[in-house]
Amino acid sequence: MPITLLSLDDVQFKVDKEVAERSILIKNMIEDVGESDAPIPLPNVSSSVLKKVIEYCEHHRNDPVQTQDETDDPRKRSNDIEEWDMKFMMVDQEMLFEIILAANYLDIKPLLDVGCKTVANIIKGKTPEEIRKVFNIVNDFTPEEEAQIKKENEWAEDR
Amino acid sequence: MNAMDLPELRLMLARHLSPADLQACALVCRAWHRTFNAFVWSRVTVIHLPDADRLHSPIRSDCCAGPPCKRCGWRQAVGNNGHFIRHLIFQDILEDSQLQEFLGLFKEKCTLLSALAFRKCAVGIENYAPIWDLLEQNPGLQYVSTDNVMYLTRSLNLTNLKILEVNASLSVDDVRYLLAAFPLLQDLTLSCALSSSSQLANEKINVDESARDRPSPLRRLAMGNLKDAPGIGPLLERCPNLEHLELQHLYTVDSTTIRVLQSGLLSRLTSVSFDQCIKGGVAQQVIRVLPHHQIRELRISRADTDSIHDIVKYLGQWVEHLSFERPWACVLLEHLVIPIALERQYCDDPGRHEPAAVTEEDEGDEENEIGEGEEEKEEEDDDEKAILIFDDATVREQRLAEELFMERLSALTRLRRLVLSNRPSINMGSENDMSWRLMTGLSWLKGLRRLELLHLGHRRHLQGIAEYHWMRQHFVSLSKLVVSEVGNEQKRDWLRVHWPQLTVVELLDKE
Repeated sequence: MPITLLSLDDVQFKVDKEVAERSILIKNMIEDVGESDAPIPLPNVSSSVLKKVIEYCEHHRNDPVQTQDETDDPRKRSNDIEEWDMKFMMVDQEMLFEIILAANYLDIKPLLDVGCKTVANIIKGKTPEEIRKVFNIVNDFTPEEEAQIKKENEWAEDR
Repeated sequence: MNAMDLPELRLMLARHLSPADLQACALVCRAWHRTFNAFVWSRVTVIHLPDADRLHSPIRSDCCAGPPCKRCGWRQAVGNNGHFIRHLIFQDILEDSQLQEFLGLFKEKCTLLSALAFRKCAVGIENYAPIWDLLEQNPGLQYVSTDNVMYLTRSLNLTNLKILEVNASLSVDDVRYLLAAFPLLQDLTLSCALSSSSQLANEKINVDESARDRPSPLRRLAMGNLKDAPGIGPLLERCPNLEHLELQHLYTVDSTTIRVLQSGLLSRLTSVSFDQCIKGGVAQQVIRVLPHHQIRELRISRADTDSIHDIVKYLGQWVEHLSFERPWACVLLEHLVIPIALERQYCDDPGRHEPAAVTEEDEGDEENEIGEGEEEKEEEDDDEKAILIFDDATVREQRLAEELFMERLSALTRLRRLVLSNRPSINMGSENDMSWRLMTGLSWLKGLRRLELLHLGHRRHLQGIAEYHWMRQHFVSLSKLVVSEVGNEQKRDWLRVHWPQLTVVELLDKE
């Protein structure tokens, strides 16, 4: 039975139950409420973002469910992103952050992971100043604080 | 809204950043500093300080009235951030006084340690007391790496220890004692040779007698540099939960070891690794007595004469993960020592330049419709001939050896992961210079339908589309392929279009 999702801006999306249940939030909602025709409101997600998220869930509908152990084991951790996911994530930064927020809200762990890896790849090799510029962050350190942290953290440098 | 304004999302991000990137992130703004500084300081390595003139002077409060010295830099930094440290490593600190100084510094701040390592450090008796203090404050310690076990055995607070690495010569009895002293130990690495004399014999042992014979929960045991070590049988007897056994430089196997392996006591053993166990066919001796039906993973470096033969014979229908570090070593030896019919056939016919052609045709014609790859294949044949002109005999010998090797592997039909070379070639053109392809033996592997990962190492030869085509047809479960280089755009396109679910990793070794 298809499930109807309702975005923030009142757009309805019909998706297979299997696809919708990639989201743990929706899965739990369905389990709690029982199956019904009523659309599931997602007041935190706009239609443009929800469309992307559904595209991701459709593509990964048959993936095995990740176990906690796998993702927490540092030896198995890597920044490799599958080619499809990489292309999927080729969006502007605003959309990237929207997708991450949606994945966080909807509890779609693999999507959240891919989003974080994408951000990590953006940060890779950048200086603090460059990071601020990319993400539009204001430097609220005093010059003394900044110098102090810089000096201290030299000792923690990975050698 | 900026997703990275949420601390929980920054925490997730932090797991994907390198130490250098974490450093940069910690300097972005105050909010980011709060998140990322804990990661920056979670692992600290203290390496010896080269400014020797300051080392011998006692610490004074006015030490750094002038320009800051390294020691004061450390003190301030650790004072502010030491509570974040989870992994603390001391390296190359040979001066007792220096090590003591550092231990003092860290013991004030570190209470969350999960890992503590001393690498090439002088952990002499002078340092026991400060180490005990540090251990005392860190009941959560799970991992310790050390050159000296004496201080470990006298400290009472290591009951949570799960992983221990010892780089000191211990006797079998000493190891049995360690197993009793650390009742939760799951992973033990002994990198030094086992000695026949006990180091701990005269220690006051605060383990009650019953604990000394209790089975250990140890799951992984790695022993290096075994050589002609006293038998490890009594040790294995104590470890019925063992899953991974790694043996390095083992030269002899004693009867107790064989008895324990044969007895079925190690009912959970699934993975065995041999490193440099070439002398006297020791690896085979062990392989023969392993509980074969349990073994799923085998790693073997420098396999000798009959290893492949034995692996196939005893483990062929069970093993799923097989890795050779230097496949050529076994290929060549096998070729020299066990000349089977195949070889004779080709040697009897010196005019034959393509010994594998027979195999290829025999094996291929039932189902190999290569079609679009045809052209590519011919091109490759030309390449081969070009090589043959240079050194006909050697190339032919190599190809024979390759084929023999592949033929042996073809019996391992349960294989899910096959790694033919882990290391990039050091001596160019020697052991890792593999060239097998459809024509020289790869076709033997067509029965390995369960293969999920195939690592072809740094072979000189690039795949043609025909080969990719063939692999797709036979390796129906393959999800990852590691090759030296994919090749031209045409091949890349082919893979993208016809085999999109395959992940291809390129080694791109341009040596």
